[in-house]
Amino acid sequence: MRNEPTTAGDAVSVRGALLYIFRAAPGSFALMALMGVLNGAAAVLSVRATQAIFSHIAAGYSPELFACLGVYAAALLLSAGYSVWYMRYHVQFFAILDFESGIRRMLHAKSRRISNEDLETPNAYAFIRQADGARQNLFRYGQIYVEAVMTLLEAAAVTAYISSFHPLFLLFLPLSAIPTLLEMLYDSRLWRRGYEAVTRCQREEAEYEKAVTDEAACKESRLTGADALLMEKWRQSRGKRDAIEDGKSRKRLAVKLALGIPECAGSVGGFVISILLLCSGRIALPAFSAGVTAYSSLTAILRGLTGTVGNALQYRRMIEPFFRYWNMPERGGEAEACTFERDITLTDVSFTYPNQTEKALDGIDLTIKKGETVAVVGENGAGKSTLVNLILGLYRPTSGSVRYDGADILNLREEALHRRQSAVPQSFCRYKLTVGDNIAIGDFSKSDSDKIDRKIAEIFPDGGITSATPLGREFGGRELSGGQWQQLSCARGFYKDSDFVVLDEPTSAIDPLRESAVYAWFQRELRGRTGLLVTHRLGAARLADRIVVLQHGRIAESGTREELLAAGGIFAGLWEAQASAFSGESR
Amino acid sequence: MKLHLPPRRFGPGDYAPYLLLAALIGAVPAASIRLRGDLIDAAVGGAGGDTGFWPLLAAVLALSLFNGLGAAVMGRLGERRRIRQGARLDAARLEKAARTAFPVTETQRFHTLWDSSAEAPELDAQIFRSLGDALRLSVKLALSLLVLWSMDAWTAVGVLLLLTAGILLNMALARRTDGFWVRYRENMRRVNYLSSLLTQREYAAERKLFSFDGEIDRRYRDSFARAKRENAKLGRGRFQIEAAMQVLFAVYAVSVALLLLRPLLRGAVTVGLYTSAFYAAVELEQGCRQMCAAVYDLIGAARKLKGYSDFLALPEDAPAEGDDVGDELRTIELRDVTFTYPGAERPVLEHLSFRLEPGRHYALVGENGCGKSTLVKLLVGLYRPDSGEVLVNGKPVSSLSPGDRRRLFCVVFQDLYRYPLTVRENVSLGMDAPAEDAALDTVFGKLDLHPAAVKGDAGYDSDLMPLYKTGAGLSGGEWQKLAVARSVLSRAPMAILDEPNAALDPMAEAKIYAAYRGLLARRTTLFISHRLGSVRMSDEILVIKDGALLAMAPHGALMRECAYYAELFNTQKGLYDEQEEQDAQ
Repeated sequence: MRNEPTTAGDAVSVRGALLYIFRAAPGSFALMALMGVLNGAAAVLSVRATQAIFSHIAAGYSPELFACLGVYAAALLLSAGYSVWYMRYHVQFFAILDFESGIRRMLHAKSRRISNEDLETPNAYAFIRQADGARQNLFRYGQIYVEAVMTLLEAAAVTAYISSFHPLFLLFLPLSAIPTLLEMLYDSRLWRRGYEAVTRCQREEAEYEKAVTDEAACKESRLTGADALLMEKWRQSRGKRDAIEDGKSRKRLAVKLALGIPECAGSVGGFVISILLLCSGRIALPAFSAGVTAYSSLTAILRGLTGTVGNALQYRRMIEPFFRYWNMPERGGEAEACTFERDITLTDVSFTYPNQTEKALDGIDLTIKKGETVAVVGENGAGKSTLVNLILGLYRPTSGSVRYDGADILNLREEALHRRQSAVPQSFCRYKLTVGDNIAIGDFSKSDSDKIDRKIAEIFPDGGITSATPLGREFGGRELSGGQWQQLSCARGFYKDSDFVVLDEPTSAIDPLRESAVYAWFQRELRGRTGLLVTHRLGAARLADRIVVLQHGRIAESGTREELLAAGGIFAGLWEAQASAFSGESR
Repeated sequence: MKLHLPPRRFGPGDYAPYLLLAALIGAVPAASIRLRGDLIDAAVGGAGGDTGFWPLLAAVLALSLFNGLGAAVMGRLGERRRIRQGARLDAARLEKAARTAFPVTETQRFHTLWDSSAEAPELDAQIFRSLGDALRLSVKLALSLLVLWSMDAWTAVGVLLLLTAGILLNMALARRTDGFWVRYRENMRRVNYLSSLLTQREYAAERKLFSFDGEIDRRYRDSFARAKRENAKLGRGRFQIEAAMQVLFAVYAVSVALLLLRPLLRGAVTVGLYTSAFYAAVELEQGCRQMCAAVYDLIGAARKLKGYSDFLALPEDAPAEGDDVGDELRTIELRDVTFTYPGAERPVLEHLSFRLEPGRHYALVGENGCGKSTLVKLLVGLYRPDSGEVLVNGKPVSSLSPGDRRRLFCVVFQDLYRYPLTVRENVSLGMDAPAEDAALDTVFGKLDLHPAAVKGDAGYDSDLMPLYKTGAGLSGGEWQKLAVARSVLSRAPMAILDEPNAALDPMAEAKIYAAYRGLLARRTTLFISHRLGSVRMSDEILVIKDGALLAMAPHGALMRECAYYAELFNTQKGLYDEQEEQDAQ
């Protein structure tokens, strides 16, 4: 029995986030910290160097003056190096890419560890997309922390510098710093408040936009006029989002105007204090002008610092999706040895999809003996594909057990379980790789290019398509028909060496003329393998030794074709309906 | 340098107050230096002049307030511009996408331009901001240069040279980084695709069964490394120019310190004046940097808007000539139609001629890739033939207005799109009014689609958008039935079904065909199928082979006269033929 999926936690701790950033790209992280230190050092150095320049100018062109100027220039270049080489070149083209790639590979690995029934819910679909979108923000998040620490150091250095002239200089500092701080806090509250609604609207708009521009949609919309309706809905969503944004922007302005007054008072106050200090002779003119300039740069630094902290608060929210996905429950299973010598048994298996209440399958008992081919038939929604996923171990039963040779497959590591299985799924994938890779992807560990080439020649008898032909218009490749894609999918399923193979509606898109050849091919490939064939087309069930009829999530009938036809039950009824389409015709 | 500003969407009204404010704020630093100087003089009791300390202080305070509050207002104006103009630009883009000629939407260029035009609102906002910045900084720099000129002409000339060099460099940079991010994203596309194979749910089953993670992850890394190398090449060009600029500025800063020493040593200026001149020069340098950045942003954004104007320039369907074909369908005729896909060597359909009469049921059969779907697209005017004509009621189908086309045809495509709309809206697409509950109940019942299955929390008004957990999740077959229900409810005289049964089970298939025959009895229908048992009841069957019409006749006649058709039919029949099987044994 599988554990009920727990609510995915999305708590983000600063330390945790920094740890992941470090894990994803340790080198980049170390360099980030180093560059932060250098940049901070450059700022302090430049302040000290200017100070030293002023103390040496009286002596004219002295070696000390040139040394100070040299240090000053070095400091400038260092900080330029930080912004131009590190931030705009290295980060953009190396660090952030390496980091994003590292995060992505962590997501790849995570996706492998989540069981499919959890992965296929709409929730998980949203999680993974958002987690992928959060990857750049994670890097920025780390960077913001480094930046904040460095700005703090810089502020401390400048503060010390100013108070070396006279401590009274700093009297009005709180007046100019506190409004900025308040503004930042208000800003991030505003941002947080609208965030959910805004991102929701954005996602809706993206869906509407896709429905207007998607290739299949374009075709249909030209004939149904769906675009007008979609556009109207898009406008509604956009209008809602813009109203939120506009409201926030207005509030922000009001707060800025209100807080601007004390802030100005603070900066003018600082200036007046320095004049008074100058008048009273407590500081000299050079110290006065240096102090005034340093004071204004200090207020700028503090503004920057509060901005950074504000950003950190926002980014923290933006990286939550990553952790939400990262904390999704995993499948587990340790055992390595998976044997399939006797049979697959399902005992009282029931299955309910996550977040749903109705059972998709209810009390299924089924044994598939080694070497046998079993067909599963039934209407749409009878639970055929769910059953396939359970037998393959892609889904974990809600109750009951699936055993291979008597061993519960939940105890197996997933890779071990799937090692000797293969399948042609109903919603088969269309890989935008080469034609050959579309087959080879069934088992990359073996290389049998002859087999692949032969199969390709069979599927594409007209020539022009070889193993190396790229597919997918998006990448400048060719597009195939549904039937051709499906045959590639079949070839993929049989390319992998397996003991047990599942064919889920394997001919739904295939041509009638090819169909009998395709079935003959299935028959050849199923020899020596255990097979499970899911089909709507009862004629195809002749490939099977035994037929199981599913209805409303339960096994309604089972037996050989002759037995079922003779029994006159559901199968016989379905058979009659399909065979009659062809009846009354003689050759 | 060609700039791309979407002409009518420029929104000039937003600019006037913004730019005026920018110019005024640009004058603040010079005025502030002047006032502060007077304030110092008044405080020290020197030649302060007539104005006293307090009025001057008030003026300084007022100026500082104007500076701070003005910046806040400018910020708000910028945000307002981004929101309003962004909505206008995005709406125009979406409308354009809907109007673009259908064959164009199938090209890669359409999708590339669609993607790159997404940043238009951001670019417009950037142009708006950087124009304001450029004006503010121009005023500021001009006034500061005047002050510096009065102090030391050489330094002023130096600043001017620096500024010119900086702006020229930035213009070069804007040119060099043209199309930069477009290429950057292009390079990353493959990487993104490979990553999606390892994370997206549609690949989840095969990913685990075939354990392709390892190899795809390896390819992901390779392709990532390649993309990174390509992008680094792009970045290196940008970096070189930027580095040159930084060196330039550092040289300037040091030279100013040295240049200003001359008057100091001559005794022309005091140490105090030297210090403030030094800081003024540093500030000027920062002003120059900002000016360069503003120029770069402005040019860069204006050039990047090219993607947007290119998208808006994509060809559209020619406007309908206004020929009223009426609501009735009299004939559909193909006259010697040949069609070739762009870039293909051979035509997919060649010299095709036939005529469809109203009220009859037709079927179109043929192998995969024989041109069945292409023929449908020609028939309803989505494609234009290379030669020959497609006539509806005697008029070319291409002259039909979208409204006429919608009234005449209802097509259920095989790869139907799952619209993020409500159940009711999905079914009512193309109709004048949304379908009533009762009508939906009836048609769903006839198609054996359980109303309960398609009803979510809000009945037929439940949204089918995949984002919503509350919406009824429909299976492929249920979506197919939804689309079939649409064509049953539609009043269109011509209904076309492209393989509606591919995702349906046998009972549903039988029911749908029975329902169709009953429900669409008086309409013209065209079924496309390769399930021949399903289409044999059609009045006439069109057999397509190798791009040509092989035969067009009722089933019985085809069985006798068309060997190809008879072979197709008997092959399928064989699956259900007990006798044959026993013979084989």
